[in-house]
Amino acid sequence: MTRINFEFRKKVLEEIPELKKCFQCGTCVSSCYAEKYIGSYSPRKKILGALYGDKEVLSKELWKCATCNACDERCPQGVNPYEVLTKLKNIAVRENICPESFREKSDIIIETGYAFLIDEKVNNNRKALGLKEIKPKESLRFVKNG
Amino acid sequence: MDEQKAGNREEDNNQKKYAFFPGCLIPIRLPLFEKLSRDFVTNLGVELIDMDFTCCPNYNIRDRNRFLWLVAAARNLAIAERGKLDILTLCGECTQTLKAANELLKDKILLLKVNKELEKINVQYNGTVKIKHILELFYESKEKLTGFVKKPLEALKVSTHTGCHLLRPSAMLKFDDAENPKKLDELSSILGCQVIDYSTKTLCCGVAVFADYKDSVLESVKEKINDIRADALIVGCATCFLQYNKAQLILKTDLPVLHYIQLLGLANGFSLEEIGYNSINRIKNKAFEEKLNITVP
Ligand code: SF4
Ligand code: SF4
Repeated sequence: MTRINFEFRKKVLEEIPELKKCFQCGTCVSSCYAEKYIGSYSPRKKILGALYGDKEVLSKELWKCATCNACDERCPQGVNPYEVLTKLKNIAVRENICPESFREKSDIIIETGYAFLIDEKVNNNRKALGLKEIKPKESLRFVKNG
Repeated sequence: MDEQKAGNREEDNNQKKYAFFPGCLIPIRLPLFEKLSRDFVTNLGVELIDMDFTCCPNYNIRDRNRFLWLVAAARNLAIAERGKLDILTLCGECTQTLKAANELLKDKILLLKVNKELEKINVQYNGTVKIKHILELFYESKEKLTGFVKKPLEALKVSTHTGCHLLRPSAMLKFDDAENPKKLDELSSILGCQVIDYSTKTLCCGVAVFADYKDSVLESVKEKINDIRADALIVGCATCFLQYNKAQLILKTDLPVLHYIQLLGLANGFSLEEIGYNSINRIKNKAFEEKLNITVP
């Protein structure tokens, strides 16, 4: 049986008020890539769990989502389950619940302005095609305190 | 930075100048796609201006902190706005991020909060920039595109995969019918190809979860590949391009996957070598190669 964690429930509903719009129809589940191919993953149940204030919803399992956005497309209530799951991920990250390589990937972006590291080979390939050289940028460092 | 004169950007539907947003993946991993894109767009009579853009940013930042994701996206939008230009994107992910952020920032209170962060670097966003993906530009320029066809690919049967991050959520992205996308089909048939529909057309390529759930993703790719009755799969997104090449190498299936910019190159008379078939594409197929040399009378 799920025990309601009222404190967590309050926090989640403050941050994700659109949770309340969900009427648990399951359209998101039947559209879901993660549920169909990876298994044991239901956006509907995550939303129900969050509504119950069940802290178990904050798990690495959230990263089973393939970001296909089919749930957002089809949800008849405008809940935007993908966005809700993203917001749950944000809370999970704050509680240090996330896949191992996760922070690294986002650190690279903030530190270099690019999602991938740029080495000499990259610019040699670009030069051979007559394209301009690219360099890491510091322009995103101002968002660092996240 | 190039500063265009203030004026009629809003009213001018036939805009000739864009802030060019190549993203990260294409300039770093697939520079040939950047080169081909720049050349074709320029040949359409459109000028591309390079600006101080960063990663859009992608879902790794969005998953970590959605507000910072929005601030960083707004920074890119603000840079384009300062130059009085709309944005032309190449990549699916960039398109989704920038369009979604732009929609979310219609919320004036949120915009105010974001601008408070942007104050730190002396930029502000006012919500006036529009974002267009290169396929949308091609679709608007269909007549001119027809003029590029020197070698109609009439013997070639293709199926298309537009890419999730171009299609969904359609209320925000306004790219195509998300359940039954047709634009990439039409763009392929302009080049002479016969387009074959299939039932798993909107199935995700699974790249975001490939590292952690490899077998599951391979299963989904196999389902899609087996569903396609064509000589090649044409994709609109560079991430999907890499994913379908990589996954098929493991699956040992042999459906050539081409980005639309490569298909356009072939129709324009480029050789397989020149569109990167020998260097970038991992899946080779003799029957496909031979079909390119057949001219239908
Ligand atoms: S999120 Fe939307 S689609 Fe999913 S169960 Fe709730 S109302 Fe239905
Ligand atoms: S975006 Fe994620 S949760 Fe939504 S349908 Fe796709 S895989 Fe499932």
